[in-house]
Amino acid sequence: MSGSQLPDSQPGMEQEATPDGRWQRPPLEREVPLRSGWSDGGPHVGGRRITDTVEDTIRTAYQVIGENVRQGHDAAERYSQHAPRGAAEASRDLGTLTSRMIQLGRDMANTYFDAMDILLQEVDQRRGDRERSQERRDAPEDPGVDDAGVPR
Amino acid sequence: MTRTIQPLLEAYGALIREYVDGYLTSQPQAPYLHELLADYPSRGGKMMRPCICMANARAFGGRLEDAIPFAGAVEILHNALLIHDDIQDESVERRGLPTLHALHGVPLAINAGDAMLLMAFGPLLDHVGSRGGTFARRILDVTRRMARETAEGQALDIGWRQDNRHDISTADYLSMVLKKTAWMATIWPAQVGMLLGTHGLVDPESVVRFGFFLGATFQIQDDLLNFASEPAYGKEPRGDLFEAKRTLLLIHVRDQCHPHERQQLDHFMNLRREERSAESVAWLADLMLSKGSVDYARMVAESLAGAARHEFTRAYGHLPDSQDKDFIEDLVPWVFNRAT
Repeated sequence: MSGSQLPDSQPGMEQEATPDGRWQRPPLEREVPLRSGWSDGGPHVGGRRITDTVEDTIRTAYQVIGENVRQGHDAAERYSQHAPRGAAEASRDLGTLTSRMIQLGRDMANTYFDAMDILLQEVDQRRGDRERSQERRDAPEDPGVDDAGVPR
Repeated sequence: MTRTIQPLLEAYGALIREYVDGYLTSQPQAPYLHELLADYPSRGGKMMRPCICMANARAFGGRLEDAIPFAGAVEILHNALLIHDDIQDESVERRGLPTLHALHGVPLAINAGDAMLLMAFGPLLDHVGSRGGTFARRILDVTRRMARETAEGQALDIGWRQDNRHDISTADYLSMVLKKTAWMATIWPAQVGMLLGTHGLVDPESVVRFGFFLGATFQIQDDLLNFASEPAYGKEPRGDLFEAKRTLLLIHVRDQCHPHERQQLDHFMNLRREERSAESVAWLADLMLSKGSVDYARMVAESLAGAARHEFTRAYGHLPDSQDKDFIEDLVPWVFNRAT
């Protein structure tokens, strides 16, 4: 390859080198992409560029629905806390139920022993009454006269 | 583009109408009530909501006959809410005829709406029990959420007008539309259908985004149809302007107009409905046209429709191909291009 010419396989290049010895492309017909006219916002609708309207609408709409979904999740959590069907609620219920059962058992035991105490006291009293009654029956009768038949 | 829409709307719509008619007429013939209950359902309608329920149930593997009562419940509830909505908005026309309260008076219309609201839960309760506790619980959960969101959205729509709020943004509007329209019209019917098709074994959150974008597109198109008020529209011409509803058109025109125009617009918005003349409504309509508000609203609807197509792929892309899956996808261009 000579030092001043490009081979034929280099289309678009100048066939001659510039004075400083560098190869250069010819001047370009354009330096920016061909645009449809929409990439810079397109025509105006309702006082705004169409692309601005579309972009703002989509962004705002997704913010609105995102906030609604978040509020829905919060509400669902509140409902599940109030409803007696969550696992956490069930374990709290179980604890309350157990302590109530213990208290009930304690109350029943106290009542049982109180009742037994009263019953035993009553049994003791009846036995005492019966023994005293028996003693009275077993005691000798007072005849009211002495051995000589003279009234006392 | 909407090849499956009309055939399924007609086929499923006929089944649902038959079920709803049979359900409502099987009730005792109560004076001052029975006739009112059957009125709105007998006027027809698009049947979009119950068909969304049916198509979701089928697309997720459910049987057609199982889906009919659930879709019937969706349609009855929708009609009940329409009765109350017409009273709240002081609307005079529904589906081409006078509104129920215009025909029978407000007290009887409220009573009929109350009755239908409660009756709508009949088909749900009749059919959830046999499918197990998990399914019943999930159906009731999504229904409770829908009821809450819809009531909140309706409260915003009414409250903004009642308080003469002029500072409503596009984000506020979309939030209101999500609650007032999308939850009842698209999200909830889809959730009920997909839960039915999977016996409650799917996360109902997965269709919320798709339902929101579809519902918001539907609502903006509804606002545009109200503005255009073609003869086939079936509601009071430009009723939204008479009511000064905080639509995207009103929000945009207020944002774009000159200070002296805004002063006049604020005066219009501060009036009571009966004080707004046809001339002042015509002035507002011209202002909206000159400021590009109609084109703007249509561009926003188109953007939301694009997002809906994207979310469809995320929510339904894994399902096997079917006519019902195509129907759900085709809803997006259909709601955007519909003329009624």
